[in-house]
Amino acid sequence: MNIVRSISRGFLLHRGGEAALYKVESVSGKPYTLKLYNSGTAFDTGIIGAIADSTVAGTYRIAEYGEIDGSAYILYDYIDGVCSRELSPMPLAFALHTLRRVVTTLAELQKKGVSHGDISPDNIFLDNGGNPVLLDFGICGPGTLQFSAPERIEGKPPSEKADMFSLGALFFFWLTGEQLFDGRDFDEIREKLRSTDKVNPNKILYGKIDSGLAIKPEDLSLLEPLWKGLLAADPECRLENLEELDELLEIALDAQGGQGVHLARQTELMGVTISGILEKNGTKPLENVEFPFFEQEKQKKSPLKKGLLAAAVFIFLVIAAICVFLARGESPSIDETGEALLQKSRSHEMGMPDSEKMPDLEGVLKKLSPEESER
Amino acid sequence: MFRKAHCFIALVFLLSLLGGCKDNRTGRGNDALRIGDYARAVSNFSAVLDDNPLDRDARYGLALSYYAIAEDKERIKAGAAPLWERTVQEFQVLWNVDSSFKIREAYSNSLFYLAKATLGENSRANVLPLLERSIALDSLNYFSFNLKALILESLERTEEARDLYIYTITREPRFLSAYINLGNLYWREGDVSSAWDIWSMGLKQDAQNATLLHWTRIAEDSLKAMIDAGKL
Repeated sequence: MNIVRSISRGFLLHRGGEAALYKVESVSGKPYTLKLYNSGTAFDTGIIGAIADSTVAGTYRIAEYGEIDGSAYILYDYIDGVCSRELSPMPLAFALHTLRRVVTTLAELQKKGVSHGDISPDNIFLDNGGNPVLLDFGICGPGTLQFSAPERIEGKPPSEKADMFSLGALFFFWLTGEQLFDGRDFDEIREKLRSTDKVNPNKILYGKIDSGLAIKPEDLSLLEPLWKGLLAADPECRLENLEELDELLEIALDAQGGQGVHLARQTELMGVTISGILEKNGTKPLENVEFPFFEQEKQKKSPLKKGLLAAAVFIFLVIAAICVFLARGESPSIDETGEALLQKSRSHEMGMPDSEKMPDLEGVLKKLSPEESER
Repeated sequence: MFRKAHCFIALVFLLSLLGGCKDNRTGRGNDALRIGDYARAVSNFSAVLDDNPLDRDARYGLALSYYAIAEDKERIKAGAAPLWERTVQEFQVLWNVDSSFKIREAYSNSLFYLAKATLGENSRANVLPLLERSIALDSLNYFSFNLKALILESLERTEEARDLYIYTITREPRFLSAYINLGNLYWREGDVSSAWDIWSMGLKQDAQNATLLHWTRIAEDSLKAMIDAGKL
């Protein structure tokens, strides 16, 4: 039975234009996040299927997905964490370190032919240990506009290069808490994305240092190759692949003290921040939502469902019985062996002289041979 | 109800899995049989049959293993009768599980070999029922026809024997033993000309057959002698 069918109530976490998110519990008490898509929206089942089957660390764990009442849904393990939007701006070393971990996950998925397609601060959570978790794969549209690559808005499918552009925009957001490509409407954002080559993120960052941004001017030169390699309008002008990005991030992180005390201190502070937010969220009242339609559906369609299940079980049993019968009743290999053995046996008989074949018969039957007759 | 259904499906899967294990053992027996490791073949097939005496493949494999062992004994002229007896027993049991055409030939042949080996140990044994059963199982088993004809000939049922030899030669012209034995039958009756005809026919099938060459030459010499003596 589908887990989603057993869920009767939950808490609304977020309701957006694409879908509503609920925190729910299965009958066993395990918490899940249910993403219930609004009518007319859906996800790429190929990508979601690949994620559900994969064991790549750093992504959400999909328990099941499909359609219920005409609405697409994805049910995944509830992440006890905080959306990266809430944690921005982040300290530089921590942001670099976290981005590198995200890149590692994306590179692993890329080997399986999976691109995210909608990388944004909202789709990366940090769990209570500070580990990033990627959510919301398989988007069918261009993704979150302010973080989309220019070619995605033109209708191109998700790709490694497009994901890299989004990572650039995401990284800027993590450092500043502001969107690099913001605008009042779709056209304005699209125009900014198209003219991304004219945008100088370092200049914007430099301008924010005076207003309290925790970046030193000397750090900006470390970021220059990242912006150039990620935020180019032409995909061909971006970094070759995620592995190359990882190398740049490593260089930048090393310049920031690598995995040393500096990063450890920042991670510890972020951990405190995450715990604080989780604690605060825990006390926040959530809208209690009932899913009576699941129950009704269950009751309404119960006889049909039972009938279908019974038919499926019956068909399965018939197939299993046929397989077992065939496996027991006939094995070409043993029959082939029998044929070969018999053929060999008879060819021996056919090839032997008569006296060899019937060694005792002539004596036994006391027959007269021509030789004996002659004698 | 659904939980029960799931349990049932799981049970069927388990049984299928067990079936798979069984097949692996049968497969190992088959492999051993193919490479001539008959002892291991017998051991594997027997183990499967211990669990399921109705297992057709294992039973067939076991019967074939004994067949191969008995045939090996036969070639070195060791007393193979008990082994052919065991082989026939296995085929008899197999017959209760599977009476399809596939096993008929091997079963029929093992009955022929049992009859032949029994005669080797006791020339007075009545093996005709074995041969009739063999022919009933496989009407193309000319080895059984040939041996039956020889026995009938020894019982002085010459016409029946002659008919069987002719039937065999007609149906299977490459079966040289029948030419030799039919020629012998004519020779013993004093019909040298017919004997020479039959042996010559056999030589057309295999011009190098030493036995046929030998008897044909003798028949030719006899015919020449008879002509010279004015008897022909």
